[in-house]
Amino acid sequence: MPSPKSDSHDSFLRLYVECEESLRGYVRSLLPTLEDAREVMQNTAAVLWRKFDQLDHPKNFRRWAFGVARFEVLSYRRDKARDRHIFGEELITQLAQESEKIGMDCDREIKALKFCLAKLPPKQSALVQEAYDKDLKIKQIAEREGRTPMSVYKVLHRARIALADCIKETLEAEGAKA
Amino acid sequence: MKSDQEKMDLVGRYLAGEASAAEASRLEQLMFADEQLRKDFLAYARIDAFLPSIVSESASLVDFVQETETKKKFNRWIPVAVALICALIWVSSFSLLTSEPAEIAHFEELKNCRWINEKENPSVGDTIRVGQRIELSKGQAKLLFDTGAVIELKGPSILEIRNKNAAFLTLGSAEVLADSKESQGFILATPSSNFIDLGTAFSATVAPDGLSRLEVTQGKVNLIVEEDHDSHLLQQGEAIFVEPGAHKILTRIESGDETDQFRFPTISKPSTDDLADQSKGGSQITVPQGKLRTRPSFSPNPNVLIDGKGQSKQDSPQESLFFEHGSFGSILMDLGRAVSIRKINSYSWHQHNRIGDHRVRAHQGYVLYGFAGNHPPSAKEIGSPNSEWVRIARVNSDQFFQVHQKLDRPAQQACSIFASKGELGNYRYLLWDVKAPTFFGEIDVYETP
Repeated sequence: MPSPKSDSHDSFLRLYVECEESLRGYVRSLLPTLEDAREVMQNTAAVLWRKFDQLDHPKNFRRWAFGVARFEVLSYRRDKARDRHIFGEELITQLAQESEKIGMDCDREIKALKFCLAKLPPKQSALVQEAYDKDLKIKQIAEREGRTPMSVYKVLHRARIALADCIKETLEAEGAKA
Repeated sequence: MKSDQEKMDLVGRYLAGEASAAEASRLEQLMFADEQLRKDFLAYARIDAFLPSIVSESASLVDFVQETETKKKFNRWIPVAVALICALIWVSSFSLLTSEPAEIAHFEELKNCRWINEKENPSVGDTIRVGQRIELSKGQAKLLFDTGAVIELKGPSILEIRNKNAAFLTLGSAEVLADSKESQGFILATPSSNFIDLGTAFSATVAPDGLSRLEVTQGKVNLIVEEDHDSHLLQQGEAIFVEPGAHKILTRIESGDETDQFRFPTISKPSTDDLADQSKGGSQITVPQGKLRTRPSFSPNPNVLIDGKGQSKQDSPQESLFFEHGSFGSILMDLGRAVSIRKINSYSWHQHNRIGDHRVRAHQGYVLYGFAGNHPPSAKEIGSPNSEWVRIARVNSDQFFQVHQKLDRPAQQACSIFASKGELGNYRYLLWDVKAPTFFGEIDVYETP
């Protein structure tokens, strides 16, 4: 049998893939924009890979990854907090603890989100597609659509709220059936 | 959401990066005191995190893994999907009749270009449309997409533009730079796989028989093998070959640290843990073809390939297996029984004691074959159409490292052959048809767990 380190690259990828989305949700919830979250996710992945040989057991990868991500978020916050409106360390730490509890298993949540996305009204759905597929800022979408940035923001905001409500209902209904 | 509208508006503004300092501070105070608001904040943020990979064409790593797990469940949706596709074709036929395919790129630079179809002779600035085939027989063409992605095509090459962030390389060589935000996730598809850029640069080559080579020059690239729905993340400086065929075999070659530790970026060092190691007692190495190099001071020992270690120094004939100068041959390994094989690694090291650039014996060049039965066909049969030997992979590390000068060639090399998904195959015999003067130090064969 190969030693635990004999296939570290494959093992890392497998473990990382398993918790990538949970980790993304976790990091996003601690930072103000998707752009911030992307940067921290990239740093987190690099640190995880660099320090992978320090992981004591694969079963601890997820918890370790969340710990590394939390550290990276706090470090990022220290770098950016002077010129950005980012929550203080105390609230980030509190959110991190609460987020870790719900973030460990996001598969059902993502499945429900896909289901709910299909139920959005066409106009909302189209705008969500445009915003997230093309990764455009609200101002850019407003220019393309000939609308005000505020009206675009409101549609997207309402869509996210509708999706959050739908996910909650879907997961509750699943729970009731089970 | 149970929190009131005013609070959720603050959440939305904060997570859109639009909140003022006063608004961010007020939200922070509210969240300290309000557990429900924190819950709603987290739910809202997580939706924002998951949406890009759900709506994007370039699905995340996780989506591909999940897809394989849930594929069977989709069968019940096939009739619905067929109806939907028919409807889409019907709708799209109107747009095809009424408008030309979208212009999504243009020719940015053209150097000494000759085109396969001589009637086509584009100029710099000419637009490129979705579906357009670019068939370059000679020279270099630089294509700039509206998203900011750049493809440099070297002739002979055939490239088809799929959409604003995707192209299909049928043949030839292309370098992709996709470092703008809009171009992130650019997909270069080849006959064997999809290469998805994660925000940086890579080059790809497709041989006439479909063998694809990917090299990451900057950042990361996700390699997706379509039939397997499996993905492999490659980092800067890493490269990989993908064999064509239904069962995708990947070959990773790396240069080592040129010490007796045989350290490589991702390939493990020579091991005593593998199935073929002599400590397990089940494997035998023979040389059915070719003449091994002998000297008065030593006679060749094939077991150096399964002793769990590479050479202890840079030029060590006693610890290496290699053929007589100017001749090649084959190496046969009998594993003792047919085994499901997950991975096969080979290691070489040679740097001449006196001649600094004499690294030719580090070059690994071979074709690897397998046979599952108890009575292996003759090694002479390899390559013939009726041969029972199954070709597993082709390795040419000089091609891989793009060796043009002797010093381009790393003195210590490792090659790892593995399947994109699952096992390489079930074999008792492995045959290396060696086509280079390699100083092999070790071969490790790993069983599927």
